[in-house]
Amino acid sequence: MKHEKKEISSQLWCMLFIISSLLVVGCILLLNVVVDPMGVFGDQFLNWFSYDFTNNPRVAKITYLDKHFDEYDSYIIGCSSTSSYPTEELNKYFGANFYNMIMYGADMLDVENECRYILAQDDVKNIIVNIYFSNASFYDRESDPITLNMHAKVEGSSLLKFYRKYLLLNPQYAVAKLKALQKDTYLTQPFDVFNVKTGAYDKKVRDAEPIGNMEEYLEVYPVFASYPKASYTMPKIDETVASIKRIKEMCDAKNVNVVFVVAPVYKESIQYFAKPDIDAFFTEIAKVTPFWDFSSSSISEDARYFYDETHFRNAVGKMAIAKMFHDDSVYYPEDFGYYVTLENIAEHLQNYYFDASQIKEYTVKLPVLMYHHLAEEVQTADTISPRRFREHMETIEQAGYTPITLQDLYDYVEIGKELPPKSVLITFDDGYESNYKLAFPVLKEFNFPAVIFAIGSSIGHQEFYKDTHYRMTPHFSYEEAKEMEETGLVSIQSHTYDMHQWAPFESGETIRETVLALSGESEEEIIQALRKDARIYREEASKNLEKEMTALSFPHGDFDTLSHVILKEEGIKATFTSIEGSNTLIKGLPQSLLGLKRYHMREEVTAERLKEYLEK
Amino acid sequence: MSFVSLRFFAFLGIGLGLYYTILKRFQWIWLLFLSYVFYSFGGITAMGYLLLTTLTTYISGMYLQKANDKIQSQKKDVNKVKKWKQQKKQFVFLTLLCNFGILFFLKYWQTVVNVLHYRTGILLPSLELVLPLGLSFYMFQSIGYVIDVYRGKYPAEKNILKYALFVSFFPQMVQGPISRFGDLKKELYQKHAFDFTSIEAGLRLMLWGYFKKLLIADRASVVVNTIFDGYTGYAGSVILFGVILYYIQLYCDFSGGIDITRGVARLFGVHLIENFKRPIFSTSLQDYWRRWHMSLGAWMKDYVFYPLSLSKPFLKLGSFVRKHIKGKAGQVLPVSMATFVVYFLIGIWHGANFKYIVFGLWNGILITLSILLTPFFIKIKKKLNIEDKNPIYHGFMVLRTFLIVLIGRYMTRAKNVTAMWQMLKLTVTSFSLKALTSKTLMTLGIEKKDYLVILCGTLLLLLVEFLEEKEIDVSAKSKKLPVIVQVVGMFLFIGAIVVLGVYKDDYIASEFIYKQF
Repeated sequence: MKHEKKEISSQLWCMLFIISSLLVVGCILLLNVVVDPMGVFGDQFLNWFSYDFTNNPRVAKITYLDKHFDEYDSYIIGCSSTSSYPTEELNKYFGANFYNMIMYGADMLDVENECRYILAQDDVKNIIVNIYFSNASFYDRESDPITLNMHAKVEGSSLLKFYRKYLLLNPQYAVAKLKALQKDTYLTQPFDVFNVKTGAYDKKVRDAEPIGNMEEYLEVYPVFASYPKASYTMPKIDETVASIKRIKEMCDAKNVNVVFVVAPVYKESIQYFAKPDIDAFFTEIAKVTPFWDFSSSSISEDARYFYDETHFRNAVGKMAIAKMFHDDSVYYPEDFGYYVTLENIAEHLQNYYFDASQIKEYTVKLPVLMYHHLAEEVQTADTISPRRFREHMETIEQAGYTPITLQDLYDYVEIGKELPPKSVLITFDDGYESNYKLAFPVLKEFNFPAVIFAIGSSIGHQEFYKDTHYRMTPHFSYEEAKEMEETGLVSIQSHTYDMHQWAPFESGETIRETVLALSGESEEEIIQALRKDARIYREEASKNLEKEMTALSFPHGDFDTLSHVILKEEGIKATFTSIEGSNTLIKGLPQSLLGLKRYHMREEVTAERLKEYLEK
Repeated sequence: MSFVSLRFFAFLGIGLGLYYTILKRFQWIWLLFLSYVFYSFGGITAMGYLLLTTLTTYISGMYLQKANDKIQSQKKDVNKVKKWKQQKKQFVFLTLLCNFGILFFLKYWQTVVNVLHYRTGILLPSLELVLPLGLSFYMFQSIGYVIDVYRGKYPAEKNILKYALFVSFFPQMVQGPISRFGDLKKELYQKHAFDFTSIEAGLRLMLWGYFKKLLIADRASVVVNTIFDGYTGYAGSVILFGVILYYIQLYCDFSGGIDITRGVARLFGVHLIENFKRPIFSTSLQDYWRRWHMSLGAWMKDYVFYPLSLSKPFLKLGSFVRKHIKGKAGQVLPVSMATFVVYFLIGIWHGANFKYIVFGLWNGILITLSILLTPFFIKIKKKLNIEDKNPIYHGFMVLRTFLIVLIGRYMTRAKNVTAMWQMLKLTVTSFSLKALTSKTLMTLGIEKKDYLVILCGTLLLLLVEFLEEKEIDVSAKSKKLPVIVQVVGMFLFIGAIVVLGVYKDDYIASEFIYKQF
């Protein structure tokens, strides 16, 4: 007989209800503590602070610093543009260990509170306060209580309420962090934009993007082409300046060096604010403290010095720091930065807006020529006859062009040293013996410098492809390379050590024809391969040529963001592609050395065609 | 105080704790105190309105009681009886005028200002009036009381504090149900011993209510708002999708809220009347209105429909029609007129808008038609040999009713009559099922997972209601499951409510946070 099951009693049901509810709450608490999506509890288990910083930089940075205060003695504090003053540069000039305390949308009260908290630590040497125009518009702003609030410790509010809030935080935050963990890559992604060690945004991706002429830039960043219109007032000058005053007093009382800096602003953003407001704001600040004003200059005129509408590039931050220390070995425009005091403020405000008609040339067009092999018998597309090569050199000379060295290129961008009026860069790929035997004598004759991008693993291979019995076009040796280098005309640079393999001659399982990841290859593997290749070549070049390689041409011209990022980290400053076109170099922007385009110099390129290329 | 706040749960915890322990002897006074604490979160002005209604209806009740007593004791003196009756009428009229006056003033002042300004150019001050929480619910409830005392249904409540509790009992302050004094007085004033059955029943109701409201209704509302606000940009199929979601949203929001209300009351041992009886399974429009917002329907029936259809002018109209027109018209006309008035009142109670007149007409005409055509339908059914219990016929009737109600939903939710008409037109003329793609769905304000929650939630709701309709006791069945299954089930259900419901608004994806800067 079927036994009818009995219902549980209401009392038991209520017990089960309580147990289930407690379990739910317990799970939420546990999840929030273990995953810790805002880094409130020290992110003990995942230790992924770059994610926590992105969620709430105010709270997570304090938790992080509480454990790492001993590693830093100086701090730069302010809203998001604060990030663009690179801490490495600050450390170099100030002789200190800076931490970048950038907080999204910080107002001056946030800055003051952070300052107070930091100054409670021992041995603080420097505080830099970054001031942005919007600081005069907002003060003590009501902000999102979860992602934009201050740590209770900093604000002096109830710790109990603070921890309760994050213990009972929406579990979706924790789930999102776990999901993001699956998607985490070496490159910066929108969910982890911070560099934990420096506290600043991790700009490795943005700083590895090639930048050239303005048209291309506007295509990628159309916001500058149709800049959003807006206008803001500055109703919070008094409150903000009062905070600035208290910050200064706090620092003075503790004998801490304090510097106030007004950040560079894009020209159209400056127009959001009325001049009388700007005058009032700056005058009030000057009454309290002298400060550096970088807001309006020739830098503000060019969108390429900005990541987006409101954030200037790290390269610009570097210029600003150099200017503050009057370092002439770094490029910055003469009109960039003004040390404002109560004495000179009137004069400064009178000439505040940069006069665009006074702008000095700070960009230059540079055509780059790409040669490969030279031979009497032209059998491949990449081969050129010595006769044609000489004709090219003659054309260059007759057209009044001056071939420049790699160093000239660097000097233009890094220290602003002018280039000859019509400059051109001659390059060779692969490192063929013909470069030494046929091209080098001609270069010497014309006294033309050139760059040869040699494949490391092929150097010195006269007959056979690496250790095989496959015949190949001979490549020059280290002795020949050194001989060319010593004349000062030729610079040997990298075409990778061994990432330009010729598949038909290779027997291994992984055949790398370019610097890109192979299909199915993990990010970690390709990064390792790129680093290993760079390391071997560095060692070889140091041993055989006593030099460091700082430029690279991409095998087959293929590249991507990851390869650019890794190569930059491995010491490469300039990269060359096989895309045809001219280049624009920009003073102070190292990104203009990346992804340089080159003209293919084939046998069919006549003197006329060459002239066209040069003039394009 | 929101039913979904930590503060409310703390309030409830403390309230219940003391209710069953040290304040056991003063339970109803404690309830009154809790109710006023609860209501005080609505502000001092709201409290003023509550007190005003409580006082006027209390005094009215007392006076009417006195009049009733006099009439009883002076039965023989016809003149005096007549005088008292006259005075009673005047008094009720005054009470109604005062209370409905407040309601009308608060609800329609802005409309009056707008219309007057638009038509004549006269600009009255806008006053920026805010409708106090639950005003119309407690007002209907206390007016029902006044009328009942007038009718001598029960004696007036002498204790003003007890009466104040009837008006202000906190669980039903948000959205009803509209209770009757006769039903509620015993529940409120008698002693309630602690009883696990009540606690279980209360918690079950609350959980189910939160499930409907937080998981389904609040998600659907986003899509509904998007579609109704920008209806011109959507194909008919998308609009219909929006209206169906609105149907679901409205039911889940309202009935969910009532479930929470009834659950909370039940925790205190108080039974509140049912307000919804699975309206999705209605077989006719009349049936629908018997199952939807039942307490308002019953209120309207008792205090508007019957008095109206039995009133002298209506009866006269009936006999006039009977004289001049053959057939059932004489019987039907007063009924249908009264029906129309009821739906019109229900409509304008929702807000001052012409669309509610259309809504009243729609319901009034359909119900009148169905009364008139009933004999015809019976004939057809006989001819076709269809029995009412035939499941296919039953299904057909449910579907037909659903569609009729759905059309009515265009009227209650569209911004105005023009929008309603346009939406109906678009639904028919540019239906285009192809437009209802997943890509379109993703532009309506919620994500894929939210649609999934709505879908699964609605299916579960339908399943449970279907079983209940079949008179299967779902909770009793579930209590027979192995204990571990019950715990896991409860954990998942509560977890879903908390994670997908309570927390739904305060989450910003980290990518989005960064993108703002």
